[in-house]
Amino acid sequence: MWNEFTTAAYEGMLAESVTMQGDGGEWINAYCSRPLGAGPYPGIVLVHHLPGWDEIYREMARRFTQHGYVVICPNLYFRFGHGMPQEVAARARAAGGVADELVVGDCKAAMQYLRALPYSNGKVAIIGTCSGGRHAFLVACRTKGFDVAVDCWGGSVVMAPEALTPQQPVAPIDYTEHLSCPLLGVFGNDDQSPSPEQVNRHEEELKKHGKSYTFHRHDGAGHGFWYYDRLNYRPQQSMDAWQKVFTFLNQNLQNHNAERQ
Amino acid sequence: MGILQYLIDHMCAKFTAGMMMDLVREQIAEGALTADEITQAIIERDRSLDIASAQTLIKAAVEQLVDAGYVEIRDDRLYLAV
Repeated sequence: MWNEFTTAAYEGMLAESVTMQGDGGEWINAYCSRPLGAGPYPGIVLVHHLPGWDEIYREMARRFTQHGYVVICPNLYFRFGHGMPQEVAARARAAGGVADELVVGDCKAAMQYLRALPYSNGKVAIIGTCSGGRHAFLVACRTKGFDVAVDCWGGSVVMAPEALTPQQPVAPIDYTEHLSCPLLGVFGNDDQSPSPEQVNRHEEELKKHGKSYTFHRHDGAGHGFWYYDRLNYRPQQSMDAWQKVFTFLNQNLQNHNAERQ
Repeated sequence: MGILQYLIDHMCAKFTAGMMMDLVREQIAEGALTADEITQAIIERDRSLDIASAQTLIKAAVEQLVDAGYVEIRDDRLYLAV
């Protein structure tokens, strides 16, 4: 993955904020990045984390694009108004968070947006970290059409009944039997949300329903170990996990991509 | 680190448990404060937190500091233990 390009190859990308129709046809904004070229390229719906539609997600989008993916990252907090990402996130938290139902609608619409692009190869993944990992799994259970899903340390997949809220009325694990595509899970063994026990329980449920999945558990890593703006960043585990994610995506989505391998 | 670490991970807050406890101790180093009076300092370090989330984190950090003998609570005010 890293440095796997030839120095003579042309490379370019376009990254910009766009508008798209989200849940119920409502217009929301999104960050979209794509390689410059005719394609066809596979797509990724990138689901941002609890701290918001923020800068690290823009960088993650561009990183995926650098490796040959068209990415759309919908602003799931659009309905909480505008401002600096962290301010909007605080408003979202104060309101109890974004409703699962809206997330499912927005992400499904983002998938359709990608498929409609003239340079799409027709394949689309959904990927998220933290709450975005939870959402990626949830959306892959509640909708059909995604080719793969990647859950990076999604907390609250396993939820006690008392933790359910109007915004999160059903624990995603309870939808496991409806998972509609192969799943990759990336977790840190020092994470407490999801804890290793919750990850094990999730895995048991996937096994019980005969789902296609691969879970990677990283020692010496906690929650958010990709986030290089935080003290819990773990470069070695992070690069290893990125490699695993790209391998999974390449195996499942890149077979039609003639331009970049 | 127990419940505090769980809350930090659950909220995806921009802290480690150690940072959180150091921050509480720093705040009361110059004089006793209530937990609510520390809230703003927490939010300034992670502006994605709302007031309720910050207060929940402070409560957990204080409990841990009290258990460890670093902080005492008298009349709802937090003091560094002597």
